[in-house]
Amino acid sequence: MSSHYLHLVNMGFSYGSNRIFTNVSLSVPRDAITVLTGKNGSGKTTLCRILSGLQPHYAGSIIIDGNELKDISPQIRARQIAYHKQEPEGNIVGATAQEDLAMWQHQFCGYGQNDDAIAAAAREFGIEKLLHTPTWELSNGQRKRIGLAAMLLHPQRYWLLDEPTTGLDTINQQALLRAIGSLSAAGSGCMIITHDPECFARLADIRLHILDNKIKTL
Amino acid sequence: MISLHTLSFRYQPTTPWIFKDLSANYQPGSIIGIQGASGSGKTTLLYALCGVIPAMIKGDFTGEVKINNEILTNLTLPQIAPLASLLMQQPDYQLFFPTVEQEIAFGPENLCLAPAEIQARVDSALVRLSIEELRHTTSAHLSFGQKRLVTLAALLALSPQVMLLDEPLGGIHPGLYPLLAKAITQEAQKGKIIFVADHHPALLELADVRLQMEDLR
Repeated sequence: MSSHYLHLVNMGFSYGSNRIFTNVSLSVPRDAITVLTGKNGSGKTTLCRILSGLQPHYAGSIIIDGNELKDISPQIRARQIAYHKQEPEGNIVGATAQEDLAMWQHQFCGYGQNDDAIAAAAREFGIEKLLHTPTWELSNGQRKRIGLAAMLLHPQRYWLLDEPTTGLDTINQQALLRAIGSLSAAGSGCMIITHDPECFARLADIRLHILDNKIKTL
Repeated sequence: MISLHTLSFRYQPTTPWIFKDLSANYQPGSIIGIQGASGSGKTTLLYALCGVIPAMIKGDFTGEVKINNEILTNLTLPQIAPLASLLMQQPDYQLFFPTVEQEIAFGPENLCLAPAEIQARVDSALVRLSIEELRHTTSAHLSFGQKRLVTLAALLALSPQVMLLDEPLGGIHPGLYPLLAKAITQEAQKGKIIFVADHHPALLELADVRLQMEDLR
């Protein structure tokens, strides 16, 4: 496993008087697959928001690839870390899956559109026939799969996956596991927020659990 | 009782049927599991069972849904709500009020129940789903999973004849699965008819009948 990519040093965070994290310190290697669990409301999604830069008012220090998170520009951060949200709508900007996946290639990765790669990613998640369907006509699970297909187009980024199995049937859960495997093949990793850690048991390098405002290694 | 009579729907004349000529009767106390691949139409069927199709979502719809001998297409959505209500996958679509308590009270308030009965229903729903500590929390400050519990509590407080649950376990900690299973079983024992669409067996195992979406075309 590579040297540590993500360092949290005495990280703390509160929503007003509602304390979520207190003095959290941990390190995660670049290519590790980390599974994070915790009860509803324990702060799993909040951690994703913090690590993706959406909640910059944390205490302590968060170092990503050698730089303090607060000091990394949004443009650079977006190329380093991808955040797959729980709600599929939060992951989709394009009017169709084709547009959405192409937009990722143009805007976030700075390289030209590759329709073959988009088609291959869509095929893996069973949405190849839906690439040109308006996203508002798709089911929740189908919209979810558009966001997950983006993983295959950008395996070099570190992915924060917030409850990625919600709404997925078993066939697409297998596709998700293969996509996570492709991150490892590209030397990258991810943090998976889940209520179903068994689903990722064979892939997990690190298991974390949020309890009482702390993140513990299991 | 809910009766489905030759119920058919497709989004456009050129797209495949989601369900075709579906006829069935379900008695009070029934739990019906709906399963199928992602995109197979589970949510679409639930929309038809509560009148959202055809009232809000247009398409090629035929047949009828009757609850207690009322044909849903003859009713307005506010008239349907006490008969059949839906727990949606996206809780943000269903949360309107500043606090959890106000949210859960909204359904029974609209049934014009006595204040004491409204309070009792709110208290009961909070206890049954073990979310009493969220009573005065601002809904916008809840996590996704907490929002799902609150929307389910609101459904329990409204207490419609037919409860339509769209992936109720999505975003819920597994430690709470038995609590949800107990709540659903209790509702069935009270004579409610409950449809559960989910990929997870924890609730599908409660079902008396299972509908496989791919077999309904």
